Amino acid sequence: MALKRTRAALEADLQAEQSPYAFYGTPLPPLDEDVRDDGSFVPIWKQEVRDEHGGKRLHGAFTGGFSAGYFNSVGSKEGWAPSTFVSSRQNRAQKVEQKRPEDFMDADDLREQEESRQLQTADEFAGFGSTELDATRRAGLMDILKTGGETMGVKLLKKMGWREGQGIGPKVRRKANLDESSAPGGDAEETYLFAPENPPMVAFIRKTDRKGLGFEGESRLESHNALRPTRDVEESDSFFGGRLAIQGKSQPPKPKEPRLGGLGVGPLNDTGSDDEDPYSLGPQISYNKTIGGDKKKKKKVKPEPTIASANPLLNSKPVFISKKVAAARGAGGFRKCRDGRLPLDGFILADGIMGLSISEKKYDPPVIPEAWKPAKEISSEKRDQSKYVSTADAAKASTLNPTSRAALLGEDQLPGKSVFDYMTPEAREKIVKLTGNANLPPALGEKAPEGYELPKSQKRKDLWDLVPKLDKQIAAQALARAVSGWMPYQEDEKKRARYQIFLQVSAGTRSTLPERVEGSSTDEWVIEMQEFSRAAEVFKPMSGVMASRFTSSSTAPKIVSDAPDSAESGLSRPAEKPDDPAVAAAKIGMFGPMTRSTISFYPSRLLCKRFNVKPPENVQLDPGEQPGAPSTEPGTRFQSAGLQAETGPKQLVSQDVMNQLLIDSLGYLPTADGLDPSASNPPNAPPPVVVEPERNDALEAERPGDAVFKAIFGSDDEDE
Amino acid sequence: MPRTVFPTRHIHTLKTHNGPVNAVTFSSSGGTYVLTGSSDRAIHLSRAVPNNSNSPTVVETTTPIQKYEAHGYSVLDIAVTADNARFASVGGDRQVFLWDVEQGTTTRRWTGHNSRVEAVQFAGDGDSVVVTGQSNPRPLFPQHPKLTPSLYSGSADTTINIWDTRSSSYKPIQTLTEATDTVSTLHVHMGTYSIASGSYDGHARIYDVRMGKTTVDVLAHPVTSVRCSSDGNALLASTLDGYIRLLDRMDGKLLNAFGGEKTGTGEGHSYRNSELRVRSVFAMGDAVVLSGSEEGTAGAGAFAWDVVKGEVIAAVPVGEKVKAVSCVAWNEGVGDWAAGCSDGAVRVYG
Repeated sequence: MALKRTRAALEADLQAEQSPYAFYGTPLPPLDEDVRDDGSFVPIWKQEVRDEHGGKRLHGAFTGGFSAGYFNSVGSKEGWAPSTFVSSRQNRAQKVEQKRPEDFMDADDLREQEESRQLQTADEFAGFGSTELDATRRAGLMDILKTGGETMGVKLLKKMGWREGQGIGPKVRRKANLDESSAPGGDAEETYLFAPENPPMVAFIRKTDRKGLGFEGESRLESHNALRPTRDVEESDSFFGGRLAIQGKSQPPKPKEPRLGGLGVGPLNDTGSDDEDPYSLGPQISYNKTIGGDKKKKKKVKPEPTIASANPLLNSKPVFISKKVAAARGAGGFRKCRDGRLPLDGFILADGIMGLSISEKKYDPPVIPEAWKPAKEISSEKRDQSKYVSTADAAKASTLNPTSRAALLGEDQLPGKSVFDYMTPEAREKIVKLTGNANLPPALGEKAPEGYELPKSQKRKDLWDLVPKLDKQIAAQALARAVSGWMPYQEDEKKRARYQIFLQVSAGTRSTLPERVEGSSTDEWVIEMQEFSRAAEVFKPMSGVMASRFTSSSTAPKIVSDAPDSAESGLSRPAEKPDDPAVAAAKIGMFGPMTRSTISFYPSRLLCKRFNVKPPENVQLDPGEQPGAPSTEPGTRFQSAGLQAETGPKQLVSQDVMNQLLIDSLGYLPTADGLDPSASNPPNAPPPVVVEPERNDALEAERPGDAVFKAIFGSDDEDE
Repeated sequence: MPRTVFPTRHIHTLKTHNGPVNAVTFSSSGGTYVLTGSSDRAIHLSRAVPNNSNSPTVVETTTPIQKYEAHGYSVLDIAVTADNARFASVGGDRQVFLWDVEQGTTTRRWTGHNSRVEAVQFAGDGDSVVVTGQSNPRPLFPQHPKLTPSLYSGSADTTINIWDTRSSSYKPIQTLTEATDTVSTLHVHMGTYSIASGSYDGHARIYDVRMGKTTVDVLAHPVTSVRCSSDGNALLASTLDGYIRLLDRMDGKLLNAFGGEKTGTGEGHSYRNSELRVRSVFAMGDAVVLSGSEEGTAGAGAFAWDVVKGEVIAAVPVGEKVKAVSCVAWNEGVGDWAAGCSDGAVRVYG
């Protein structure tokens, strides 16, 4: 049946229809694999309108007709925030993505832009037929092909500070060249540094004509030569700069100057000078028609502002100068140096000096007149040179020894003994140990020879210097304490005795040296004495006046106060003072009663409850104490006040406890002088501290009930 | 289990913190877990010994079991209750946080300190009280920029606050103001009903609640750590002169001193404590003193001394680059110990 096409036929047909004009090769695959583009029937409902990006633009009427945004919403795929949004909190100070103009163009604009683009040769390469009047351009093929843009070399030069139109090289010092209109002699001749002139490119022109070398012909008349402004002689500030600037350093051609041209001289070359003979034979330059200085000066070679010179290093064309002329110039002494300047005053050019033989003679030393006799006589003639001996040689040759030398000098002879003779064997051992050299002379332990030994008083004085200085008063106080019963070093009776003697010596009641331990060295003795000195400082009692003024944190009951006011905390500060005996004792490692102090502690009832203990007596008896209240401060104040008045049962209790503790630790109870500042108030010394009205915090604080006062002060009144 | 040799085998490294570790505490009974507080403002709960602790190499843990994050400043000390249900932490917040271990949230926050809180301890019957020690609010010198809180001198009202966990009062039960400088360390010994405190003013104060008296021991150097022995007869105090002293609590006499430059073990490794808050503890049933150390010539380490003989029985270096071992904790239940290091790691030895 031919009514229905086979699938294969359809495919083949489709292929043919897809690309009906592909007669050779394989046609390209269809643009979209899914969409049949064979013009076959597609129902209306299946037809879709798509934009250039393939997006569906038209939708059914129920969905709004056409689409916008993301699924017809105002949001985007990422949500409400557009994908282009970048939070400045996270990406602070980040560069915003650079927008291109294309980003803001719609389809029409883009199409217009496409259309406006035209393919053309870049302007830089349109070198042929350039209208630029540039001599260097026309100089050679190389220049024609040169691009107008910046070559890499130019770029590099510009980076280094070069600018177009300048020459290359060090700066040149010359006068400012303003313009012709400026008054020629008006301003002071001030010179400035200028960039060097741009020398024209050296062009090697192939010679195709038969004109003489260096002949310019009518090229001389060219505009660029005439346009060159007359300029002063440049002063190059270095050799190199000057050399590079040769080409540009042309002198203005003077009309009267004789031409130094080539052979063929045409009417155009006639400069109007009568001196010239255009028909004279030979190079004109080699002839001088007049004899005379001034004429010759004019004839000096002027650098030609031409491009004809093949060698850029040469100022001018090589000319022939006869020896005679040269000699005449030399005689005149006005020859200029190569740089065009006159030689320095008093110098002449080396060329001018004819022969070396002359110059050799010139520098011979002056001849001494025969009759001349020197005024001085040479003293060396007197000395016998042959017998000279250096000091070192003389010393070597000398037969004198120290003894004989001493005799010669009239010195008393020292006993011929070494240091070791005076050393004790121990000292020698020390040296042996230190040096590791056992081969030392034996120590004899001799006494110093008579007349040299130290006087005994001096020796003792040296020892006295070793005894640490202790204030007399401190020593006396420490001694007083010792007398009253308490002293450190209880465990070592001998040491204690030594300490006592040391104190006596320091106090001045004893004049002998402090004792030392049997067999101990001086160093150990000194160390022990220093320790004694420190101990005495620690154990010295406070003087009465001072003790009444200050309380120390380690003198226990006085500081009992939790009051945070500044006066109290200031008083409790002496613990930080270095002279605090407790701190000092702790620093020298004497832990024990010295560093230990006990103060009352008034835990709140709630705390005791939480600790599951019965509140201590002082808390129980405190009438001001409110259970649960965090304020122990009024209570403590009253406690301390009561303590100072030596009343109150709790004080007695704690005193007992403390005394017991002290007895336990020390073995006895400290006595009145308070040898142990950590101990509580001594019983037989009434406390110097009384209740001062300005310091009575109880008055300033909230006034408690009368019962409180009665409980504390009531008994006092009765006692007194 | 009783051990005779001080354990020095490194078995576990906890690298959960980003900042220096300031506090290490084992959980109360058994010591299975360890709570670590760091300058990175977090408290981490981790297993002290990993499950596969028998492995010969050092196990490294980087993620904790639980993170407790409420502090806004460095955590300076942690204390755990006996029932392990709660713990308290303090730090630069000037607040005392009471945490619920299970829920990981704070149940109480006490505000009353006016400066950093340096130390915290539970006290009282059934851990009903929290004792906290405050640092000097008016330091003469600014805080040391690195490591654990550094020390400064000065005079100010530094307080020890005692807080009640049972009542809802926002005020402390009692405030102790004896210290004239930062209260750096606290230890509560319930056997003697006493609270031991150490301060940078160079005093160790023991508040005896039952007796109603305070024993003040002058140590002349800033105290960085105090510990009461379990029988309550001795007080272990670390000071910034590089010594750890064992004082008799009865009369304040020096029983033994550990440390000092001379205790080097030969390879230039010696105990140092001159500027940082370095903690020391008793270990092995009060037979050993264990302490962290500052960086010496060969890095920081932990040191252990025999209490009776006073000799160094172990010097455990923790690493070349570690500046200090600021805290140590001994776990009597298992017989291992942990060292909190300034590099943020907690190293467990057993």
